[in-house]
Amino acid sequence: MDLIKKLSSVKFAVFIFLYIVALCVIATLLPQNQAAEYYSHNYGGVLSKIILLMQFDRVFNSLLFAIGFVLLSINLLICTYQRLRWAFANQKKNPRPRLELKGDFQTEHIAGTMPEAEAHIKNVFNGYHWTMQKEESQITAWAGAKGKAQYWGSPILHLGLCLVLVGSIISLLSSQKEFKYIAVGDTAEIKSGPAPYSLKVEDFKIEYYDDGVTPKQYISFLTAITEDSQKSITTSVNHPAEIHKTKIVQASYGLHFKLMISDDQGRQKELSVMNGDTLSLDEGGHLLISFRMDAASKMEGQNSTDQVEGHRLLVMVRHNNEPVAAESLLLNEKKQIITGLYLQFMNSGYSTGLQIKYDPGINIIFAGFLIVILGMIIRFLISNPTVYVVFSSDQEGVVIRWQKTSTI
Amino acid sequence: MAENFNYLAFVLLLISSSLLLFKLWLEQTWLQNAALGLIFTSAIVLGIVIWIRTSAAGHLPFNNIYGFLLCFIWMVLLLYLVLAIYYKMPEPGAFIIPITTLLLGVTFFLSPEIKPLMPALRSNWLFLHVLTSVISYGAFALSFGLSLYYIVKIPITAEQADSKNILLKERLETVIYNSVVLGFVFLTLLIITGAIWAEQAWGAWWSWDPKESWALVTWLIYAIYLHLRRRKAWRGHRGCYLNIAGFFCVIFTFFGVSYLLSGLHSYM
Repeated sequence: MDLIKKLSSVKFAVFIFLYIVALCVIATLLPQNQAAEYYSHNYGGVLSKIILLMQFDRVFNSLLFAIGFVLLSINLLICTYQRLRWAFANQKKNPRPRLELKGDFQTEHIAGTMPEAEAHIKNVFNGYHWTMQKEESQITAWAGAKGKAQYWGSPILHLGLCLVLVGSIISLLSSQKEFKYIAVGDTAEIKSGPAPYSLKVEDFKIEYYDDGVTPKQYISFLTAITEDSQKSITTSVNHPAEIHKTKIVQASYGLHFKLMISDDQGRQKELSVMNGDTLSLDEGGHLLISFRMDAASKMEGQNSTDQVEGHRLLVMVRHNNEPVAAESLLLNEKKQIITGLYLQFMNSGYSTGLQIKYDPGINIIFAGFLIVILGMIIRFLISNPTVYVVFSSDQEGVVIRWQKTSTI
Repeated sequence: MAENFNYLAFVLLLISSSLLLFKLWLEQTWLQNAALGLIFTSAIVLGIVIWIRTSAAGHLPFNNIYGFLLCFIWMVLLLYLVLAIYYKMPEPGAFIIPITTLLLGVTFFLSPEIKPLMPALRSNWLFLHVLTSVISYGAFALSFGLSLYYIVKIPITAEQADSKNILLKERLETVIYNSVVLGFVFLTLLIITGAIWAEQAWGAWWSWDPKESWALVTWLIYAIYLHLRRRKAWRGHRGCYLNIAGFFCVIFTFFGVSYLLSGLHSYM
């Protein structure tokens, strides 16, 4: 019981909050997910060893962060349980009526003595929770009462946070995510979600503002194919498509190029590549692909990543990290890259970058958000003020200063 | 045109800051009244600037730091006017208005260019997300100014002070608490709207992006204040220091993360 009391204490909650704050600060100020050499080069031997040992190079995936997350969950769950129990217990009691003041910051003069004023205040506060502090020249008193609804604000708020936490854990354990670059006309297999399906990109479109240069929207026209059905769907930025319990988000786009690679024996293969791709060659070595907009198109002011046409393909063959050959290809051009190996630039087109996600925890998280909002409305907006009063004697009698103070 | 109005608002705020600072030493009511008049006028002028930019862009100027700062400053001025008129507490303006003047000065170094919304920002969530941040940051700026005023005005040994001081202490603690609650509620809404929007736009409701992480840091700092405030020892000066720390987190989340750290919010 003592351990539970400690784990649910405000002190412990504050400690956990500060612990998470410290980890977040480290994670944002220290570059994350870099190679060990990066830290030893930039922070020196001792500090880099500490960074790697404490896993500060990947804070949000570290053991320290997981411990903080577990402790926060324990604290939150116990506090929520205690607050709910407290709310149920108070629900049975009869709430006192609201203690109202005609106006805030009132001053009242009454004839009489301090004991009479004290009796007057006690009479007003009768039936409420109240305390009084007597000093030499003045008496201070506080009084307040809570309505039934207000008991539920804090427990509901904490319950909402618990749901967000539960949803996050479900999401962490069971969500599936994949990112696909799919060229227009191509089909990809989607493995996320309870029922795998194929996704064909029928078209990809960029909408522009009136200036004709600034992109307004990126839209992918897709067909989701299963063994017994086909369904056309559209996804665009901020308007994800939902199908077979997965969400398809328009996340990126790029250009892809179709190449025909052939050799002297007449073998040939069609390849679909993107800017910056590297391909392994059967003959050994690698083929590096990049593109440049040709001079004529550049003169027309076209954006190199938005325009499908007018590109020149640059290919480089590297062997043992050394460049051994390089060529530039125009559309439909075929060139020998190295002895016996030919490359033809067939065509170019858009490919769409889609984020496909299956997340059974997300609806629980969003339900948690709604409950947090409800809890905050009850906790903070349905106020029931405490009344604060200071009274002191003067020549005419007693001065009483009334003031409405915050909710408790 | 709109930028000229900005200069006018800046000059008005600069004069009112000076008047409110003088008022700290000189018990002259006219100084305060004149300052309030100037602040009211500058709020109208800034409102006109925001309206002009809204008309030109076709949406509220929420898509860059310049526009956001204008809305943020405007919100602080509105909240201060509520404090001065409804709560009858104009004095803390000596700490609130100079901060807004400084922030308005910062806009002179930013590009006022109005650009069309990029696809990721073309969402109804932008309006809700940024509006909640304007209200939240504005309320925290108010609590920051009030906390500074509290530290200067209320002696640490306030228990021995006279009844007038006790009432001022209690009133200030109430108003500071109310402004933190307003800021905290809207910060929570800011995080929630951001998470829902991120799920739609990026397919991930939380990515531990620097902006998200620092929003969480700010939320936790103010959550600490709200938890500790139940203890009497944390209602006074200690609570004020915590609020000041919280506002530094707000400023870092806004400026620091936008300019120093790269992440999903880098387009801000």
